[in-house]
Amino acid sequence: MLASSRTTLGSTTHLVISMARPHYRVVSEDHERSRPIVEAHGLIVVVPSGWEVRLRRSLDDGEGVVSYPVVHAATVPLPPDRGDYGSNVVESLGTHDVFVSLVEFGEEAVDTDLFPKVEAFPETIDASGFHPRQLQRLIPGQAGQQVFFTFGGRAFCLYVVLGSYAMVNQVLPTVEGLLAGIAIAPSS
Amino acid sequence: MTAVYAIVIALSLVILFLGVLVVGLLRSHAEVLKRLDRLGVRLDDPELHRHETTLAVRAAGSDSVDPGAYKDIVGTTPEGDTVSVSPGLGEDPTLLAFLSTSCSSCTNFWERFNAPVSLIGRTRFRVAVVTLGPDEESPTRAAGLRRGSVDVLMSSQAWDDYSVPGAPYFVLVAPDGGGVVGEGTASTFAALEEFLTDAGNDRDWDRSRLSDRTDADREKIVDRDLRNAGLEPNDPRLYHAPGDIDG
Repeated sequence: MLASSRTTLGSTTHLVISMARPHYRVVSEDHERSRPIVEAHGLIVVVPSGWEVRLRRSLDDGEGVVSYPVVHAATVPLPPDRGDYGSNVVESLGTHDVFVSLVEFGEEAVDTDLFPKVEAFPETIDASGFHPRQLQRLIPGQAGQQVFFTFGGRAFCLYVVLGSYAMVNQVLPTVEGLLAGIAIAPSS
Repeated sequence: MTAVYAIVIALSLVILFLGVLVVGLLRSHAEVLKRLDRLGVRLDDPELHRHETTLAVRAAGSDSVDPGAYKDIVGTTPEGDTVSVSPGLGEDPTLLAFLSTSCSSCTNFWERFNAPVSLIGRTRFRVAVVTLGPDEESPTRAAGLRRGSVDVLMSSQAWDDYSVPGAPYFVLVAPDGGGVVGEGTASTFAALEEFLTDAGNDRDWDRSRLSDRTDADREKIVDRDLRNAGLEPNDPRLYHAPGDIDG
């Protein structure tokens, strides 16, 4: 029987709250060292502290329509309902926040002009490539950048949205901290 | 005449018996009160009536989760997405509702949580329902119980990380890395709402204290702002040698 090893606590009520804690927290070394890892469909993301990551599974509707994996990462909470390019998330980005989407495309995109072959996953990103016009959805103050590439026989679009264009140099190390923890397995 | 005497005697015996019964009941009642008193329960205590409304809120930490500690929840959704959720992120406190698909007392909570963010009292709460992982719970059942767009996460590891004794169980995590500020169980949604309203009010109260701008509060505010800017204590950028700064 499912969940048989756990108790049901419906008969009593006991809630406690500790008051007056500070609203910030020093991240402990243990917390920092053992980072969560999200892994599926040949994509691995080591999640840095202060990020959320969701990896949408690949779907085949059985009628030939396949949707490929999408990785979403952000320094703000990721709601369950999101668009591939961050709708429902980018609206909540603050000045220091970032949203990253890694969208895989089908075989027809592999090694095309739009998706040039690269030898390594792009762990660094050019600050000068960010621009408000790169945004899928224009939000005042924000800037985006899209990088298309083929790696390991798989085609991807890496889309990064900054909460503040003015903070690009300050926030870029945070983005690259995430990108350094992403690995892509070659297509089989 | 004899019959009348017999009736009087019988009635006297009945009255005597009833008297003994009443005295016995009173003594037993007194004994119960005495024992309750010995256990620290006072019937004239207004807190007792508060407990009848199913909630106990007290200024105490928890011994099941280290004070201030919270863990990211790594698991899957009922749809099969892989996720790592950080309850301390964002501006809203996060309510982690540990529910089971098979517990009858969880049904009410499954039905009431229907959005990823809920306004309770004057405070917005991010809500995530956490079930055991897909090895121990049915993903299709969890998907069927989900209402609206509430976030449902499946992670047995999270149950272990938060030392969840059973369902339903609730953990409240403060935003901006503030850590676990409350946890426990509730039998009704109303009790949970009351708890969350108190927690929200306490948070407002705590914020107002920080805005008093005493030296200690100023230090906390500066520390918080530095951390938000990516500067942790002992960051070399906080220090400089003479001549490092132009002008």
